[in-house]
Amino acid sequence: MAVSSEAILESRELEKTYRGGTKALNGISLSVNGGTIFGLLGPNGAGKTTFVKIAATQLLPTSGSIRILGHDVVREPKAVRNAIAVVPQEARPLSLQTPYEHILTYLIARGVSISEAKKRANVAIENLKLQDHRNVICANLSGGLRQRVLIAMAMSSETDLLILDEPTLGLDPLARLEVWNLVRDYVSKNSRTILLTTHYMDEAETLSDNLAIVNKGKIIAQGTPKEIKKRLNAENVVIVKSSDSSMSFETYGRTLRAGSSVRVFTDRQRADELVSVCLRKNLEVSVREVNLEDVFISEVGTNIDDATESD
Amino acid sequence: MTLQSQIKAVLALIWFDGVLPIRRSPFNVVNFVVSPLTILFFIYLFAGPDKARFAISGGLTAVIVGSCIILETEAAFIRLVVRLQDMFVSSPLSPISYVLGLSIALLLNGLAGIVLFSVLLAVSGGVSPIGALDIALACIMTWASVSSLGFVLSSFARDMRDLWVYAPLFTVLLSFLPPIFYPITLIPEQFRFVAYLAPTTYPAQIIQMAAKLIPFSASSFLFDFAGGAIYVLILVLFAAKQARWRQR
Repeated sequence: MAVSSEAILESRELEKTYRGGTKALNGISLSVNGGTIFGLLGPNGAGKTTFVKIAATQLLPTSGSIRILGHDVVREPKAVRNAIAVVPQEARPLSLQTPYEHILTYLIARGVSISEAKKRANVAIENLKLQDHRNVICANLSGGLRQRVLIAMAMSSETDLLILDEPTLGLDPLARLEVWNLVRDYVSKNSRTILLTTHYMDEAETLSDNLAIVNKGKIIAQGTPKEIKKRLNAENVVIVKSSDSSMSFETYGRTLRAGSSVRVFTDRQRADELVSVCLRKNLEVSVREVNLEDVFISEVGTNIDDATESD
Repeated sequence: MTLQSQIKAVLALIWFDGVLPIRRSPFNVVNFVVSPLTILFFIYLFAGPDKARFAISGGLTAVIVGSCIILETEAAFIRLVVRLQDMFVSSPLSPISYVLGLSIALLLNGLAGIVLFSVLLAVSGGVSPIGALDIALACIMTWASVSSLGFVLSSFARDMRDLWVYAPLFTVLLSFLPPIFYPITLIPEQFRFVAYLAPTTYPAQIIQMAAKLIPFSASSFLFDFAGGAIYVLILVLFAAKQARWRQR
């Protein structure tokens, strides 16, 4: 059953504190609409995987709630498990089995009849362009193909909500693009819903209809990528390399200094002016449109890689 | 999921994690027979054909223990390394079907050894039809208790390195030190209680009685059956309680 427009997942004030005292989630409230891709973006250790594990009924929250299709993940895990399929972070298929065997087993284990499982496995093999590797053991597949096998397993389950935890982690650029296409096709052709986590800004921006930026267990921005970028009140960002902290660019727009570089958020006209000034002073300078990383830096004061925390 | 679907799920897991790997890497099967056959060889050499039947009956238990205790590493590998367990947790599959599927799948590794030692036991001294049923019961008890123990151990692991040491250790503690390859009467009476701490002692005694290696008595049989059944119950319940299907 494909669901559209209504909220398929709703999280309210979700908190998780691990036994050692680490607070992984600190009041996450968000809503994922049916038929869309929702991105959960943040550095490693931000709490994305913890959120996914609670939503996927793998972990209990400390407080707060998540409802999927109206079912509470703590009180009604069976109903939730019927409605979701998950590809965990850094998962991989077993070496001695083929893609077809993985998909078939996963579907039968989910309760799909053998004849229907065979049909769906063949369709998934075709949709995910695994025909040439259908009967090749996974030990002989590339990293990108292995990831496609896992995504094929999850997609073939035809659940209302697909949860992908860092689906492109460790993949080369070409394999990443392939995964992006699969994700987009799945939602557009089937009107199903995907919740994906990523720490890649470009991935979140390209794929997500809506997204939430998470840091240290809290949402720091939420909305469409466009809405989130609007928070900066700027079209462009000028990045000036200068270790001279006395230099001021405040007259051109909001300024953020991080190490030896200064980011100036401004409009196109003043960006051109600033670039000219910098070039006259022989300063290294670049200009581009604002992106989600700028929002992250603006909110947190550091870039996403530097914000990474150990779990 | 209906009971019928859960049974199909168990069969699918047996095919996926048992039949397919054995078909593609058949040498694994040999691995589980080598140690018991070596012991049989040495006992035959140094103690003669009479005592060799103890080695055959012990070999049967040892093959089952060896192929079941690796559930500890297999379940941990699927949970921690390839992380497929999370895909199954977030699905309608029940934890019981999952564990059952994996434990039977791994038992298939020992199937050749089980057949070999059962045939050797039958041809070397004869086993009555009732004795054969007793042996089958003892094998099921051994499989259930050791598989449960393996799954419990796997659920505590946070890293594969935590586990590499345990499979060989438990193989020794469950199949070589207790009276599996020898009669319990060789242990001084005051220390026999130590042997009964091993869940494999009880079914091994049943096999020895069924193979006429030690005298059969109804009270001994009942004692060993009750002891084995209690261990199975405790370990299965412990596995069901401790198995980290959903973490806290």
